[in-house]
Amino acid sequence: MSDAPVLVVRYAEVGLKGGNRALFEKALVSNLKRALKGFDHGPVERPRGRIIVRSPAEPERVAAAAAKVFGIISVSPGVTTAPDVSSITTAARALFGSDLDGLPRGMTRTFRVQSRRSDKRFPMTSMELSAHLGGILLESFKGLSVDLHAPQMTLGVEVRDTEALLFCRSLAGPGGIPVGTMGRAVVLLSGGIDSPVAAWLTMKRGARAVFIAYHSYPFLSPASLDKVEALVKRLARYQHGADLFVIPFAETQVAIKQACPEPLRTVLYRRMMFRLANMLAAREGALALVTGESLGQVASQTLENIRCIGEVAELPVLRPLICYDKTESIDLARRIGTYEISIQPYPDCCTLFQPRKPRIKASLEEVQRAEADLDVDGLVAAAFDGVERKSFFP
Amino acid sequence: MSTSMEPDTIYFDSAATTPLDAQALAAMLPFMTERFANPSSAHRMGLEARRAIEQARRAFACALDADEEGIVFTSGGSEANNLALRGLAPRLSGRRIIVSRLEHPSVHEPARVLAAQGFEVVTIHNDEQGYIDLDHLSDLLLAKKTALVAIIHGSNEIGTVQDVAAIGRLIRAVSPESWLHLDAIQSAGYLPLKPRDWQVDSLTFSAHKLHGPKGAGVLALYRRAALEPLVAGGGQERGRRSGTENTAAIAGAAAALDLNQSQRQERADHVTRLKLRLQALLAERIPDLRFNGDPASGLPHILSVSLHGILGEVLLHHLEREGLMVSAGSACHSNSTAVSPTIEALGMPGPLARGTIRLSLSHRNTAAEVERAVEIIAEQVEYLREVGKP
Repeated sequence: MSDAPVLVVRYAEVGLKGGNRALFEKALVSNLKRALKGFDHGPVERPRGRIIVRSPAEPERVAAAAAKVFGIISVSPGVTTAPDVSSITTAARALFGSDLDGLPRGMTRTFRVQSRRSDKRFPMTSMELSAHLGGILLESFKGLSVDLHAPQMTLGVEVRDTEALLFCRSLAGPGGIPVGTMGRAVVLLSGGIDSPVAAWLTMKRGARAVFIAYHSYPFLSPASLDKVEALVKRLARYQHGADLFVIPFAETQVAIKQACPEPLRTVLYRRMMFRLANMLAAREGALALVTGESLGQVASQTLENIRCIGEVAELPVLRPLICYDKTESIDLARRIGTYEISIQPYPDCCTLFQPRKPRIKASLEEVQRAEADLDVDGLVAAAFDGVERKSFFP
Repeated sequence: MSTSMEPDTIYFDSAATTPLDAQALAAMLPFMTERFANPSSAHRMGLEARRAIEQARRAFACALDADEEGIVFTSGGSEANNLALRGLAPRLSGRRIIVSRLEHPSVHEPARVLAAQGFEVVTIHNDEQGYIDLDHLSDLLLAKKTALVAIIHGSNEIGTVQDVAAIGRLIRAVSPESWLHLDAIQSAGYLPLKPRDWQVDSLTFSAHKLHGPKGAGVLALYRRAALEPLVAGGGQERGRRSGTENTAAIAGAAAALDLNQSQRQERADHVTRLKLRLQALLAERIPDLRFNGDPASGLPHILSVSLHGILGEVLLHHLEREGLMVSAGSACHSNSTAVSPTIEALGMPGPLARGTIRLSLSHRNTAAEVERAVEIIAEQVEYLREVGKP
């Protein structure tokens, strides 16, 4: 058996799920395969506790793509060789040598070897194998010293009954749970920074996002819708495709502006948005609503107003960012690639509709009273009637 | 939402750009297909392209009353204005630049670049119609040695046409060395240009404003001057603008210019009639509005209107939905509405300024379109004023 490149993919949380474990693992493998579509690679196997991607043609790029899949803890590009001491020794020297080339010269480099064996017939214990390989590497390369606690390089070795896997580096994955295993959730998406991050966090915990956006054309430019679409397109990468449902919202806003007290407008707009999200959730079989709300960030996000808005929700409302600071949301938005899209200067609400002095702490009673003169059902039905579906594929 | 021109679309945005004349397209096609050679190539195919460019240069020299050596082809009006300001100012004597407040951003922004390089950039006062104050210009010229004065001939936003002859006379009397640059990009299609009579030193032109292609502009020079190129390279355009010439666009520009010249008066008369009709009908149908500039003697194709109780960009999208394409004098940002510098220069109260739209016509528009457009505008303005009530 000759040496061949492999990716060793590790997952943790899905390993803990008891009876559902097989289901989660299957979902993870299928999500991983979809993420690697378009790359040249061999079979994807699932021996106990690991996923192995055989013969990736461009190991670095394939590893980077794999490291974006929810449920994955880390990905290591490495090699497979025959499970005997001499093959392992040769492969270790070659792999370690090529990785050593990437480090600056002339410095002392610290390393360790970490071995595991699941094949107990192997003639050495894990400790013995590590010591043996460590000795070989010290002999083979100059300027190395062993550091078991905080080494610059770690050579990992896993000996199985049919092969030995060796790797030197690993890319961190996002962790979480395979997307889709937790059902669907309707994400209320504005063009801002927060709601895309909330969507990403929800996907990370296994729910598949269905996006809803409200657009007040012709009070707003169609360009602001392009921005929302760009966000969905970006987020679609993390769950292999996404649907965006665009609701025409101008008439609802006009009706509220004309019939209701000005300071309550924002809360009332959002109650209508939630009602529309209820309808979409029912139609799409979603089990929760997701918003980018963060406590106290803007006027509509006080506990009082969040309560007034959430009252109309017919499903649990997930607010992943509720206790995030803005800077934390921004950091995450940058990491997932939505920040640069969100900061494009298109407004998501026409100044015409914004109240001059929004009520910071609305009461449920006054909000319900404000809606008394509004044809809530008629407006919601008319808006939902104009829904437009757009599908995005990564 | 439709994204292209449907049969019943009314296009009142000709100051932004115009569709290509068939004649211009026909002139361009050979240079995008079989006559593709690089005009700098030494072989006969290159020479063929070179000849087309020189033929276009002669046409522009003739139409703009310049010497052939004075015609510099550029990628468009913005580059031509940039070249005039940033290319000329450092080589002229004097450290002051004078501009009007009605200039296009392609003059304002290079002026800012020059200011960062140590030039003192000052603006000329204007009245509420946008006419510049000649006494103030005279004061500015007398106060300090001035390298360059840049004036927009016909305003792209409100259509006000400056008295360039008087400006030229003033400069020659008070500060004869100062360079007078005229942005004629909006006026070239409609007004006779007499740069030599006006004692203008340079003038800019853009083909796509008069049914020529995008990507073709001209800087015409009337006085010998050293010019610092913005694009250095193979030395095309006498070293003033390097880069392989856009032969097709230049040929198309010349063809559009030729057609425009032969029909200019006719087009101007037709468009003026439409504009005055548009103005009269709007005034009749819509209360609380103001026409900006001087519609009676401004550019024939531009009518700028400010409406109380309206946001320009919101109205624009409502008109667009009804099939009428216009421009707004303000843009919506996340939490504010930004009024353009030209509109700001007119000194209107903020709420009125924010309700500014520009209707700009071409000879392809009809009286029926004007009638229909007024209906649409009146309807949408009435609706938006109702919605906008506090």
